Amino acid sequence: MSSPLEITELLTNWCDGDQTALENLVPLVERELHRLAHSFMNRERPGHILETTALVNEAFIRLVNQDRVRWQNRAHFFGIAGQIMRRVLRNYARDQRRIRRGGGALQVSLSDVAMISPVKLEEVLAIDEALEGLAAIDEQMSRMMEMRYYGGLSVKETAEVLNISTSKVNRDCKFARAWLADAMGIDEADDE
Amino acid sequence: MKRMMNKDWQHLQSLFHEALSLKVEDRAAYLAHKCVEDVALREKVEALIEASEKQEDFLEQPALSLGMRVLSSDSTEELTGQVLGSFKILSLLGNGGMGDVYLAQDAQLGRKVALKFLSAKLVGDQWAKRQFTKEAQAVAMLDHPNICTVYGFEETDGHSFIIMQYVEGERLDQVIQKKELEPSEMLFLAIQIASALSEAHAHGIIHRDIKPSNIMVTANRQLKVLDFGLAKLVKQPSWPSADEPSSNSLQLGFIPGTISYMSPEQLRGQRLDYGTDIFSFGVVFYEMISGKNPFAHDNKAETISSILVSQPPPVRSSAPNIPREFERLLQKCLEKEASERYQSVNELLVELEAIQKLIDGERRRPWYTSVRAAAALTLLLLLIIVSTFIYSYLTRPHAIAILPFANETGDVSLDYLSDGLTENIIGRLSGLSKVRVKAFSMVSGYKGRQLDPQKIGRDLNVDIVVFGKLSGTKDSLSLQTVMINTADGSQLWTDSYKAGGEELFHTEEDVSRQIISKLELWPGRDEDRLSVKPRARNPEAYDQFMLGRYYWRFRDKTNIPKAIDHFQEAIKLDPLYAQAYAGLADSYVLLNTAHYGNILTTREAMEKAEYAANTALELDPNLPEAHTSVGVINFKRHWNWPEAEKAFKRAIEINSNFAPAHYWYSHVLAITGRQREAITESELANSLDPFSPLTNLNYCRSFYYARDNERAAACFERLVKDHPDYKNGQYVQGLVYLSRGMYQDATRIFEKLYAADKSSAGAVLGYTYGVTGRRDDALKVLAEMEALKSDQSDIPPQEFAIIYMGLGDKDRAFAWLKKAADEHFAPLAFIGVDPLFDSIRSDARFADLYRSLKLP
Repeated sequence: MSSPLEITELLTNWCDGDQTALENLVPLVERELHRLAHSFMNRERPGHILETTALVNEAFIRLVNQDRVRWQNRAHFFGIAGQIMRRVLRNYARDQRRIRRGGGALQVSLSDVAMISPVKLEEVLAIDEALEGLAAIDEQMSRMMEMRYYGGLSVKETAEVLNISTSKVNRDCKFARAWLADAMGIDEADDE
Repeated sequence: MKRMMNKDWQHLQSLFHEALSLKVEDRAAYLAHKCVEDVALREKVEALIEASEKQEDFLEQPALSLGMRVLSSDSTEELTGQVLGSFKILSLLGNGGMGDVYLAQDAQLGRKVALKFLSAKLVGDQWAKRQFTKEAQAVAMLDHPNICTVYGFEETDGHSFIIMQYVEGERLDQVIQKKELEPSEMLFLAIQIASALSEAHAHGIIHRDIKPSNIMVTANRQLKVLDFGLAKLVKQPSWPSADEPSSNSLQLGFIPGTISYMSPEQLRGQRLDYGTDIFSFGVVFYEMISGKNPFAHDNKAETISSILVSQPPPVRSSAPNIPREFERLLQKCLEKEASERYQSVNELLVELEAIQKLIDGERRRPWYTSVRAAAALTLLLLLIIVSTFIYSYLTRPHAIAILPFANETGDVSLDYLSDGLTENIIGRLSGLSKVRVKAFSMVSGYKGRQLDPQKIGRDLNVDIVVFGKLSGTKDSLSLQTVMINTADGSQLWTDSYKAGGEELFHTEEDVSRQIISKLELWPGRDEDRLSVKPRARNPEAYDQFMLGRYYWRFRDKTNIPKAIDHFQEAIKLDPLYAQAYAGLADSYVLLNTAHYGNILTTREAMEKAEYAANTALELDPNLPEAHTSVGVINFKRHWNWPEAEKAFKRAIEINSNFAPAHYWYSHVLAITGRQREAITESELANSLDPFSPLTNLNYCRSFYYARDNERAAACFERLVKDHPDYKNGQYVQGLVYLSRGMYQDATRIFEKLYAADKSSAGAVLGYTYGVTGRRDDALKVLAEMEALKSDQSDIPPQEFAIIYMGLGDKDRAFAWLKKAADEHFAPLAFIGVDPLFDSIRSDARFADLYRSLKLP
């Protein structure tokens, strides 16, 4: 595993605008999230609602040298976590859809337990697509939603990362949610 | 998505927020005012407001926890490259029911293993873990070639995993998808699944999750069932489980991925018995046949109801060419009520094997038909089919043809080495109890031709062919071997062996071992036998033995004495060389008949043969050749039928692939009146050595003795087509004509044979003349035979008996038969069953004669 120092450096570099630092950072964070998720699941009775924000925080604390990190870095880190989660979920949902439709290279064994209901997965994919559409019009708004929804960032944290006011975040989120719901053509609240 | 101008986008947002901040009843007026000229904009804002109001919670709950759940189950990136205990994890192999399976290197034992990780969802569950460990231990007890071996269970660094045998191959679902299987192949695979289940059930283990993705098929078509007993843990969480109330912790609300292989009782959450595996087996077998799962629907509820109530569509509708028996078998596996299914997997196995025999029978018939198609090829090659045994279950496995090694030394005097090596290697392979080997009949003139392995695969129905060529000079020979997968022409293995001088001595064993290891024939007891199989103690003796066998194969009066010389030389060089004694016995036995000239008298030849055979047996009591020779001597010399039978049976017991033992045993059975068994045995010999005219003739003749003239006639018709120059075949075909009263056809054949060689067919020709009223012609033949006899004295007395029989002179006929009996003329033993002697059978003297043959 990469040293906390290295990760911290990557993170600060990225915060300073170095995009290649992000590319190097993502796999490291993802790996840590994997590990944490895994051990968390082993520890806890499955089925629990995960205190996921705490989990990402744990990852942040473990990965990043806390002495050398600026206050914005934590939010950025959560932003990365959100990005990773979005991709993980998208891939998983697509794989599951392929499997359900039969054929598909990744054949999860039949008795493998589907962890998320197909309805939920379809929703995940729909949101993902709608976010793509939103990004085409307003990238910042799309990223904001990514942080909130996938990364579990609070309004305040989101504001920190994007360097905007919390009221702007609140306002934009409200609009974005309406816009996404409209784009997805959701009429009835059927969210589980 | 419509791209908006930035200004429009901002405008839309501000309208939205403005409108939303107003009272509901004021919004319409506000928007109407703001969007006078833009109806679309107004509608859009209205839609957004509506969405916002209705979807208050939308996207409020972060998807982070979902992502974490996915991450926790997908540990791919985390594990690859890691070291857990003594295991270095190399790569992800797949996702199984219990969790992911990784390929890992076991540093301690230096082998590759598969590690199956207990799914993250189950690791935390103590009950599940206990159960998991218990099951892993139980499965580790299973030792069966069709079950993926479990080596152990380990918990390291918070990971729980099972250490399993790493099986290289394809999953059965991939095999099914790839191409349509032949019925014989379906059966071959099905029998292996059933064998695995049988072993598990015998240990009280129910698999519970039989499905194609749990079954691996190696390149050699050996099948391995994975996840034995483990599936118990992943019981259907959505349905209450009656027998394991404590498993509720597993009922996490997740839905099993696929249920289409489950039995009705499994879906109902009832207590499971072995019958559940039989049902699942049925579904898998159905899918192997038709390519489709009989119950699967897009919708889970429909799948469940289909399993619980619907009859699967007739499998023949999608696979019309499968044997009818498949359908019946499937039906009995897929009964909704377990009590209506096969009551044990063994019962199912018996049925599968019975069907296999049936298919084999249909397939064996081809030697007439397909040998014709393959005639060009068959003349070119020697075929041996090695089949694998799955325990005691004879299955139809991969067949392998070992083509005669080519002699590319440019020195024809080394033919004996290329032939001998081929034969000895086949001999060694056939000695393995788990292998089925077809014998080999050498056909000269097959060598040095270009052969297309894929064509051979098709024509001979073999999966693997082994080619070899010998090159160099006598002192620095080398043998190159290539093993080819006939399915795709790919090279499975190639090797080169030094075979010059002393090295030759080891070549045979080295190559045999290689082939066996490449075929993944399970080592163990068999391998020991391979190494202890008697052989020469020095290279020169081995060389002489090979020369002896080479000449012996010609089976004629010029070469048999040469064979005897070489066998004797081999014995001189190695006085304990059992195989050389057996070769000597086989050679002397052949000298017994007139056909081989009168080098020795019958008595002398038989005495020597008996001595040699007994010596061989003393030196190696497990040599099938020796037992067979002893049997032949008991048959020919002593007419001691029980002893002969015992010897042949013993030879077959040692090596069930030894064609000569089956061949001779069928003789004894025919003579002693057990025609049905004789047919079976001669059929076996014939299938083991399908291209030898000798075994073909023996097979056809068994119908003649059984008085099944129709089958005999058909059989001979094909025989003479396949072997147009084979005189003995025509001779017996003539006898069949006689037996059917088709005298003209018989006369035509016998006249032709007689014209070609006065010492053959004279008696039967004279007989035919006699019974068709051509007395003068008969007497003329008789006179010619008598002249010949006084000349060379190699016409057996029985021949004269036959011609007198045709002339109606029973006294003389019996006199000659008595003489034949006194001389112990071997073929006389058949008079009890040979229809040719029917006309004198009722005579009292016949009964006396019969008794002198010690026949029952």
